[in-house]
Amino acid sequence: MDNEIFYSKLEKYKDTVFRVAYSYCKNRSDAEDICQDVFLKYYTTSPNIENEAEEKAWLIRVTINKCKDMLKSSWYSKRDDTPDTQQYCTMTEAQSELLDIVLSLPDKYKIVIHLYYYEQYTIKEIAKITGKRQSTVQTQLQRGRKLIEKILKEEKIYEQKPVQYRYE
Amino acid sequence: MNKNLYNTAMNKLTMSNECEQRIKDIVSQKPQIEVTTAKKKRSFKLAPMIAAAAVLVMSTVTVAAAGGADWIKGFFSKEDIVITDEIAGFTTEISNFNCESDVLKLSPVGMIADEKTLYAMFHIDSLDEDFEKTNRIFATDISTTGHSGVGCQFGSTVNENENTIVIKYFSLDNSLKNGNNVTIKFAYGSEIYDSDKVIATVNFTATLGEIPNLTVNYDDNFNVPIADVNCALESMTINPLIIQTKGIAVGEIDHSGYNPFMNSDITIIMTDGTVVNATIDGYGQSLAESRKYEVNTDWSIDEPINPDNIASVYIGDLCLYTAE
Repeated sequence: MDNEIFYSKLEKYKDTVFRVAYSYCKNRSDAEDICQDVFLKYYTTSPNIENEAEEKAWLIRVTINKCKDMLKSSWYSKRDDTPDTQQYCTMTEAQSELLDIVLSLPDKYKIVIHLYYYEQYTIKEIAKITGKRQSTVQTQLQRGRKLIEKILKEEKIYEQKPVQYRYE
Repeated sequence: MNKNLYNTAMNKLTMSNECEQRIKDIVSQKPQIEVTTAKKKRSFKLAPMIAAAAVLVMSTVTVAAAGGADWIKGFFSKEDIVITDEIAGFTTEISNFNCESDVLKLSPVGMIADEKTLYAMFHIDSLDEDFEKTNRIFATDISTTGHSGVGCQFGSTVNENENTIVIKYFSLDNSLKNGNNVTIKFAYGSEIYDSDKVIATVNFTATLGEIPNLTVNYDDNFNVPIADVNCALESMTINPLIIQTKGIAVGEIDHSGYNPFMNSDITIIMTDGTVVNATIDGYGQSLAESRKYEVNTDWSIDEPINPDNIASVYIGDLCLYTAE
């Protein structure tokens, strides 16, 4: 692959790949290692891809596979997977709170939510990217949404301030 | 969920300049990578290729049933699964195997099947270098004596690390009998339903293992109150790998992407106290009569089990089965 073409693809898809990887890894360092692997694979294999939509889907698919491999590895399972909240410093409280909740979901739910809401893929497209049935994707999306609602509700109850009495 | 809030938060997560530069540096310092992959990709025109398939890659092997059955773990995402001798004994013997293709050579790793269900794994021995393997090879057609399933993906996936293709198929409709021939066609491409792009056909004889099944038939009106609409179960069948339920749902149902049990898992409690979960993996609804739908649901079990050792089965808090 011509280097200039590769650089333009890197520029175009770097954040897409990073966000998918971050969703799984929850920290910048691992997510960027995954990104490096994905783009080098793209460079070395020069996949025979017909259009841009396919190209993006290919990169997301490979990223998901790399992340799953990493999460399965024994060295990773021994690590502390506390989210790397330094990334949140430019976010509002509401943004970081929601991101925290989504990233805390089981992998199968959060990747479907990310692809559906952020990348705006359809259920059919997500099924194709993730290799799942459409019905499975639909179920996972619905369950993911319900889990988020449940966690948000629980947090609201927890954070509810005590009634303030006014002394006359 | 607040979509805008999530999207604005995600927008703030970006790859660092250092990482981008690191990737560029690696690429610029390794021009030899380009040389090794410089061979121009041929455009993919399958039909003439198959028509002109002068060389057929043929192989015949027999796969023994038990012994070294760790490959069964490849069907499950759960870690730390133990394949007992009992589970290994459920495997199907594959004989007279041959793979017809001029681009893809497959060999059998193993299979577990009964009359309704087929879990099979094939090793990718070789693939023409013009093809990209990742997630682009899939089973598109499975046929046995008296059954043909055409035009869908059958939950097949490529495990790139293991160099295997994994197939899970639940709809044999009691058609797979001991000693039947099985034919599976593999296609290449990005479109699931594009079955014209068949690149390989495998044939083999399946000698089924002794697979225990648990079938529970319910009386009329066995309602499942946790379902989203009024739904009554007619039967439940459990084999070592999946649970299949049949029922009737009543109501206005958008049956294109809906299942009454969508928000529920099945819990299986084994006689030794082990708890195993099963989640929905597929379903189909068909209109039986006005506002009545036949609901057939497939539930993948997290790990292989022996149905003879089931103590009880629950959906939510509702007991679906208890051993006497």
